[in-house]
Amino acid sequence: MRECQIKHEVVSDIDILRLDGALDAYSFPRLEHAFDQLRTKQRNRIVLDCANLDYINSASLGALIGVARRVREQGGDLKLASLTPKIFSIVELLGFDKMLQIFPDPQLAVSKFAQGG
Amino acid sequence: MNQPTDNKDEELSIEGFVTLHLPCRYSYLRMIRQSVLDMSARAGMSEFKAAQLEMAVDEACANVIEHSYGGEAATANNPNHPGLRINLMQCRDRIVIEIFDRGKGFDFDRQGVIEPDEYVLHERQRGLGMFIIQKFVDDVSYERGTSSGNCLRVTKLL
Amino acid sequence: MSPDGGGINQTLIFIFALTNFLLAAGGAYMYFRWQRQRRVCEQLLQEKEVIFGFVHDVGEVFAESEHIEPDLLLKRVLYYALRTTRGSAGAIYLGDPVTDTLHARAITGVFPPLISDVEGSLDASVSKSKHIENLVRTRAIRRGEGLVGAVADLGTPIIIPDAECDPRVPRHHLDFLRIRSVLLVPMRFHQQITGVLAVVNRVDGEAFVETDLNLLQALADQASAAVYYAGLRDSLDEKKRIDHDLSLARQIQSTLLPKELPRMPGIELAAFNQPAKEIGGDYYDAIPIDDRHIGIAIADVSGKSIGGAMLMSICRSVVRAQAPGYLNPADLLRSVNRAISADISQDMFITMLYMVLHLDTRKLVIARAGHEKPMLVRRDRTIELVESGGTAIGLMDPELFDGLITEQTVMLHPGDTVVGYTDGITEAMNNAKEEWGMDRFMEASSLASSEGAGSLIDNVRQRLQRFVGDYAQYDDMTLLALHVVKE
Repeated sequence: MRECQIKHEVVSDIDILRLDGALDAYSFPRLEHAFDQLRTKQRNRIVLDCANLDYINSASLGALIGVARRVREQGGDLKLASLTPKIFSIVELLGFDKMLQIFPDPQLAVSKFAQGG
Repeated sequence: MNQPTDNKDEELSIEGFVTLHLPCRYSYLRMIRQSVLDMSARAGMSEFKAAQLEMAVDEACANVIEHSYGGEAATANNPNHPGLRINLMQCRDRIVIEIFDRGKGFDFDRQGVIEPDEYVLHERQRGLGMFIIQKFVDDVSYERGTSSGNCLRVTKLL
Repeated sequence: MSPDGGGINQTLIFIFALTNFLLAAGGAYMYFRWQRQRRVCEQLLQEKEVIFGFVHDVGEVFAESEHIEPDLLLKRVLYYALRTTRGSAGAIYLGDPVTDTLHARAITGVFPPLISDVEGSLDASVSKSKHIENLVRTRAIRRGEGLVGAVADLGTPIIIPDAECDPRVPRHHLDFLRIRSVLLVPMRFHQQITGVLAVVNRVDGEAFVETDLNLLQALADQASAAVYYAGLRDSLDEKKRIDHDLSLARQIQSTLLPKELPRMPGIELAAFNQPAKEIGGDYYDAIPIDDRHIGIAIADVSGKSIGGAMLMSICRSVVRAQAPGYLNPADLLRSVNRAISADISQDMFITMLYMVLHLDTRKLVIARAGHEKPMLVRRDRTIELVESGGTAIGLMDPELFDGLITEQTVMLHPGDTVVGYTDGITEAMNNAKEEWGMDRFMEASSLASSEGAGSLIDNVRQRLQRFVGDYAQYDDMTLLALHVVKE
């Protein structure tokens, strides 16, 4: 498992964060920082590309839920894409798959935004 | 949550044993997780269960660093800091992991355990870690003030 | 006390003991049966939930796949394959007709090579996923070689619940490449094997079961056409892409009709299906329920192009999976409605006619979810339309649906014919914008009915064709005839 890198890409009014590596107590500040930046710029449509995410801890999951709630109040959403089977099984075990929309790839998530969802 | 029998000495026919001595730093959590995964694969544990064990141990270690040692900042400049000692034991039907620290310990039972459903309703997103530590493994215990320090012990059946 | 008192007492005691024993044994038996039924119930419930999720997932995949690169489509298919089977890694192999070999074109997770001779290149010190993935991708598999080659060659799916004991499965010495359980299904397009979809190691450590295999095959069936066309589409120019997209719906749907209708003693079954160019989704199916019963379905989905055709394929899979569990057609429809209605979007619905025939008694029980009333043509050529209640699938809450659907039973005799159809038949139009209509349809059916199912179908088609002339077909047409042979 590598250090966590967060790459940022913008597609029209949607921000795609590609998470590489592990989100744990060490890399969590990086995630928080990325979300803070988006909040300052009032960006409310976020897609997380988790294809290379091999671990996520409870604080990070909590941050996802918190951000999702906040942006939904602003009419946006936070969607997850490309979860590996391992990460998906954890998310599902905690019931978070019922709260967050999960897509096989970022393109589908982006197009869901376009459809108004 | 299953309750494996507590005949520690008889049940623990240890087939593999690894010890890690690590600084009390979040950057080393990665190494702990990797060791847990390797041990789980070696023991033939399913990927699903290994992921649960990995997470429980990671959350536990992060909790120990934060509550027992007061966070990594508090120990930053102390080269003689005892850090964390982790024992990973592969047994016939289970994996047992012990986390030792020499900090002030924490009130394990009083740490708020929040169920995920409740968790999402609350403003402060904290406390899920304890839930995970307890629910993702088959047995968890915390013993303070042993000769080797405080010991958090988790067991997961294969 | 008479001298026999002791004897009677003993007999009584014996009877008492025997009764107790029988009660206890009976009780134990009932208990075990109950436990077994509970397990079966739970398993059915789980299967239902899996199908439920599966329907939702697959609908999304292909709804978006109209303008997509082949690699992305493959990745999506794999994602859903892993979600529905709970596998931890998977791969899609596609065939190259020129070299007659297969290559892994999409991989998700740490997918162990399914060929044994890669041992030399595997090294514990090597960094895992990228290297393994490379190995799997670059290894060309010949027809018949290993598990993947075998599936591609014979076209039959393979399920290996316990791979550790199976000689066909390579044993790698690295523990993260351990193969515990495998599923492989062929991907077919128009009778040709175009590839293989493989999934390994259920995430929860359990072995794969039949349901997993059936779901994977259903997914592969639906994916094959889309994958084939996505590959082709890449090489088409803009103008042709539009036509391609429209025919995709039709192709997907047409590959899923039964290749052959089952033969039953004394019963003739014949069918005809003609899809229209654009609007998607009629189908028919004949499903053996047990060795004395057969289920016959005919259905029509509202909804455009790929979405409609996909929904139809999903419906077919769900009906096939559920049919063996229900002798009552209304119950089957209730179950199918529950399984898929929540996932049908607001503006779509499915009408279905489902009939269960007892092969010996020729009792036919009919249930109709908003579909056209079937026609019963008796030996003497009199026709009646069989009435029964019910509303379309996906239109309202399951509770309401459950309450509305009813059954009708008819006894069939030699010379009788039952005709099921979709509204594309009765609403077919000619140049004068007249509809063919029910009267003409009934007349055509009655005239040809005594000659058997095949003749009836041919006759109706000819008359319909004569009426319609060269007016473009707007809606899919499906016609199905069940005839009891005269002695």
